[in-house]
Amino acid sequence: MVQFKNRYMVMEVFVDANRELGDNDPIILSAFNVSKAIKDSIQLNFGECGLAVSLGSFQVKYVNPTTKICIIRTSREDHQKVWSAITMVRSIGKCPVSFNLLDLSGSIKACKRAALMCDEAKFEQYRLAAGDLVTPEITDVVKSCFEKIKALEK
Amino acid sequence: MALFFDLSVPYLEREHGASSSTGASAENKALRSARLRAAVKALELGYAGVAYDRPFRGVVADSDRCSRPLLPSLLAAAPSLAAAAALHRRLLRSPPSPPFRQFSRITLSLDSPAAVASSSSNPVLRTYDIVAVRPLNQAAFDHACKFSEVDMISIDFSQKLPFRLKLPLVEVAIKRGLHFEITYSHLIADVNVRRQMLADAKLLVEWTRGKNVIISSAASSVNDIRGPYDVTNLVVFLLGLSMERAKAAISTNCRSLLVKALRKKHFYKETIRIERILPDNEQFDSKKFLLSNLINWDPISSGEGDLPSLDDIANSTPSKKQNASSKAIDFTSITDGTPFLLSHNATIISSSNNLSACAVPDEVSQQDEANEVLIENSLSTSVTALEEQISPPETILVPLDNIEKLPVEAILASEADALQSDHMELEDCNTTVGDTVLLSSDANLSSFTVTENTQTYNGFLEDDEGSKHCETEAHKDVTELMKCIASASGNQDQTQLNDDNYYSNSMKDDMHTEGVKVRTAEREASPEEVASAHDEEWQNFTTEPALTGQREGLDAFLEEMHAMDVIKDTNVVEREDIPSGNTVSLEKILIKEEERMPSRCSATIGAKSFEVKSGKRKQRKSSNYPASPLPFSSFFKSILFKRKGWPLRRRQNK
Repeated sequence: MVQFKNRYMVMEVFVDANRELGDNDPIILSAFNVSKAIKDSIQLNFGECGLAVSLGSFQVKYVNPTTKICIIRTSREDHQKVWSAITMVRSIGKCPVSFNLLDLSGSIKACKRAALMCDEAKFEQYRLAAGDLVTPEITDVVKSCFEKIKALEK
Repeated sequence: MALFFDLSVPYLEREHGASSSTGASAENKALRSARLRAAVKALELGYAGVAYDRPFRGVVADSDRCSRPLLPSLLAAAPSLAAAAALHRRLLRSPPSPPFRQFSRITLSLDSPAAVASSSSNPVLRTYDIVAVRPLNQAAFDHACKFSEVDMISIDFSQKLPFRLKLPLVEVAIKRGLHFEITYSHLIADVNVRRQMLADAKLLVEWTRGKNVIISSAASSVNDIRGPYDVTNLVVFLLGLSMERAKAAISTNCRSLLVKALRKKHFYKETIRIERILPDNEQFDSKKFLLSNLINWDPISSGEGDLPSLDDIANSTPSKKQNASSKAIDFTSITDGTPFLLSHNATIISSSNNLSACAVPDEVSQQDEANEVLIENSLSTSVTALEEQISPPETILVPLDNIEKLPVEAILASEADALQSDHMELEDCNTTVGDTVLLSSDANLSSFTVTENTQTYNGFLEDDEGSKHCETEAHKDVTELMKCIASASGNQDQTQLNDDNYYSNSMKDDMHTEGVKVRTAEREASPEEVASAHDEEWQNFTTEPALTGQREGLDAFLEEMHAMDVIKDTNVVEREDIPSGNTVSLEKILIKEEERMPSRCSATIGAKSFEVKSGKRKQRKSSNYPASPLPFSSFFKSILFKRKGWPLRRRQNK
């Protein structure tokens, strides 16, 4: 009864904590650049074999560029390794970033619930921080992102 | 429900000294803003406290006193901070109510054991909340592990270690309650350092098995700070700690270290808190004040630098709440002024762990009680160790020296009374309880201690020097006793034959040696004291057999009787006191017993037959003299029986 299992990590990304408040983001997060940064880190820290082993189920499922929440899927065997590699990520491109785990779950259902909760909370904070700068377009983008979470693996 | 701490946020800027040039001040500003950002990040990530770590090298001067590095208004840094902090606390499952705390810490880089020694007792260091050392060579590391009075040993794993970690040293340090610090920022920051660091850090983690290890960031920039769970995972995966130990390393270990360090800082001798509350002319309600203070006492609060808890932030109270708890020991006055005197300085003495101490106790009664407890303890442990008998006179002497004005005689008399009453109680026990043999030895000892103590009292009443003399005499007495024990086995005296048997018996079983030793010692060195005790026993035993017809009781009783004979031989005067009628009645009972159990006739027939015993018999005998009156003696006997019976059963199986 050895079944293949996944782990879903809900992570938040801090983009360049040294920048002044209210500045525009130096980079726009996407599933591609997040996954590339993580893969680079795995290769740097655990080598070719480590990367090859964990690549099987590794996937960045979801990225919200506004609230900077992302969902990353790995296999259960390698999730500690991938997590460590993510912790040791220092930059995406030239921009210094740091990842922080918000939730770790074993099923997409629990993961979606946690991600939605975190995403909403982060958006609240974003609105608090940005104040009047929150335009309707941004709100629309975030709303569509929420829908994307709900639609994950359905 | 764990609170996470980051006990190392670098604090590099200098408030005074080099700040005259504009370049230095700009640098200071940059460093300060970096520190502020790091603290804000830690708060945002859900940490419950940070410690600002000032690295230090050289001799600690008075100017290096802790100078408020604490950031007063973290809340102004970002408006959405409170919400983020609350979210992360919730996700970390740590309670939102504890405030975010800031501590000060100094890390001394030391390169010689002398520096370590001098750093231990420096009052300037105690202005910091946490004191850590970073040894730079083998000698400094050895000394730091073995003797230093610091809270933490911080090891810089980013370079090649200048010393070798040694398992015994690490174990000693852990036993002494020191913590080891591993910093993770190097692990994240530089690829080449990782290789260097992991090998050494893993060794330390393996040897400590995660005990007394603290993980902290030492982050040079904000980007190096990671969340508590990420750090935990990193440590688990790379250093091979277990999950709970890794979590403890960043939460509970830090907390226990903080509690210990702050207690060291704020309490006199780690238990008594001194506060200067009000000027003399004002009266205050001491009871009310102390109770409220004790109830609100927070073991990990440094007294300053606590931000209001997140609940308060949520209620949008940006102004910092005034900390209700008054400041603890005022260190400026202590270090500048006269030495710290309890009697002069204290307006109030409150004990952290004893509420009853709030009311200033009647010193006489307390000391008295303490002494009584001590003496009672030494009695109840009775036969366990002869060396312990030295302790009662010493412990009595100490408080007497302290309280000079008190009437010495009163204390002495009361203690003597206590001893006497104890003695009497034990005697009562002898007559009632069936296990007389065990308790009778108690009685012997109690009489022994009484006389010894009273000797000391007498000496003390005469004059102070005399008391010391007496004390040394007591020492001598005991050492003489021990010598006698040593020579006892070689003694050809007829009285010793029985004891010899015991001695050889007891060699087989360690548990019984002490009891036998004490017995021989009493017989040898203090016959007149013991004789009186034995006299009382004697009378007890005459009534005893009527109550107990059991085999063992009788054996023990016979044993005692033999001992009595011995005593009688040695001091003739005592023998005259013993009524002859008793012995006759004993003989009768013996004969009865023999008739009842003919198989054991040879063993119980008389005093002479005691010298010729079978091995089995010896073991039975020795089991009558355990090291202390154990309540589970029957339990031990059953084990003995099993062990004996076991090979027999096996043989039957074959």
